[in-house]
Amino acid sequence: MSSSRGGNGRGGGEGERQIHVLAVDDSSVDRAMIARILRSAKYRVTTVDSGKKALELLGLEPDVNMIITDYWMPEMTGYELLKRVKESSELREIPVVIMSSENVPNRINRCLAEGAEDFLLKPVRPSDVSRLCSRIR
Amino acid sequence: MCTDASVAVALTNGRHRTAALTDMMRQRTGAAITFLFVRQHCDRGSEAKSPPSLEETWSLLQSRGDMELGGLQRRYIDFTSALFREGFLDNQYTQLQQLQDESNPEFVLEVVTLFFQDSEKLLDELSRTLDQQVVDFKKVDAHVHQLKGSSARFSTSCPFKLFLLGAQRVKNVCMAFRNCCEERNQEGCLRCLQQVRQEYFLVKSKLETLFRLEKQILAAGGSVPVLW
Repeated sequence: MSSSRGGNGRGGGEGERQIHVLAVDDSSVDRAMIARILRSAKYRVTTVDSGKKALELLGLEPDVNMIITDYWMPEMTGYELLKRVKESSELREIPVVIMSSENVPNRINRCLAEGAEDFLLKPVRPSDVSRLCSRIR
Repeated sequence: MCTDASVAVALTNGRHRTAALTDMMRQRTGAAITFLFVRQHCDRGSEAKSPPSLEETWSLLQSRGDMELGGLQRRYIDFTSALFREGFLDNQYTQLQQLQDESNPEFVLEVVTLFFQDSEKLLDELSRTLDQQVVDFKKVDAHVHQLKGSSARFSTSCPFKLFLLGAQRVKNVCMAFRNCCEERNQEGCLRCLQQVRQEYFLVKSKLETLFRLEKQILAAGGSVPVLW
């Protein structure tokens, strides 16, 4: 069952540059899961527990290559975070992926219409992530 | 001399011996052993000139408590199977185990610990909010919504089914809970909270037993069976 991995693998995929993903989720369990999946696919991961913290970090560190965020969060939803990112001239190029445990077509459409790169249903699996990241280059 | 519980394997025709040994263990213990971790024993002392016979190996095993190992693994399989049957675990637990490897050897335990911490924090907050002279029912309702929401979330994204989640019992309690909030019924809310607590501690004790068994297996030098 276990497979060996290089401890300090470089690059999410090929090349020297390692892809940096910002994961946003108010649930510590979900953060642990998504971080684990992303890291085992060799991405550099930063996790935060709110949209507000995500925006703070994005303001300081513009080397984020992708944002993956939970939809339902107190204070600022993933949708609201998406909107803020797409409204910002510095941030709008960053692909944003929304995660949700609920399959609500209206919600999905709204997010995609607002510019979300993809919408993933939880539980997120490693195959979802590799599918995603092959599009982000 | 090795102090870990390892099975002595003949050095010259190791493979043949291993298979024979495994068969013998199965026959003698009557255990339906799914995994039997067989490692090469480091030495039996310098006087040993030939590989140990099966009988010799068998008594070595017994003296080292490797008999226990087979029993432990069987108990683990039985216990885990029951948890799956009763809806405490589902195949997402298997997925969680798949994310664990040498670079993250404690991943499952870490995630479960986070789950315990989050849940207990939520329960405490609910308790505190309901304990006020003047209860802020809006706040209680928000917590219950979080509980239900996290139940819904947990039911899909977290593998621990019962408390988490989605189990009809918990959903019903949450609905009743929210009704009590709407009616501003403190007594009712406290009763609901009690029920939720019970469900949670039930799940917690099941999971703790599971981890205890795993630890025992690892301490005896075995490997933890994974049910696919």
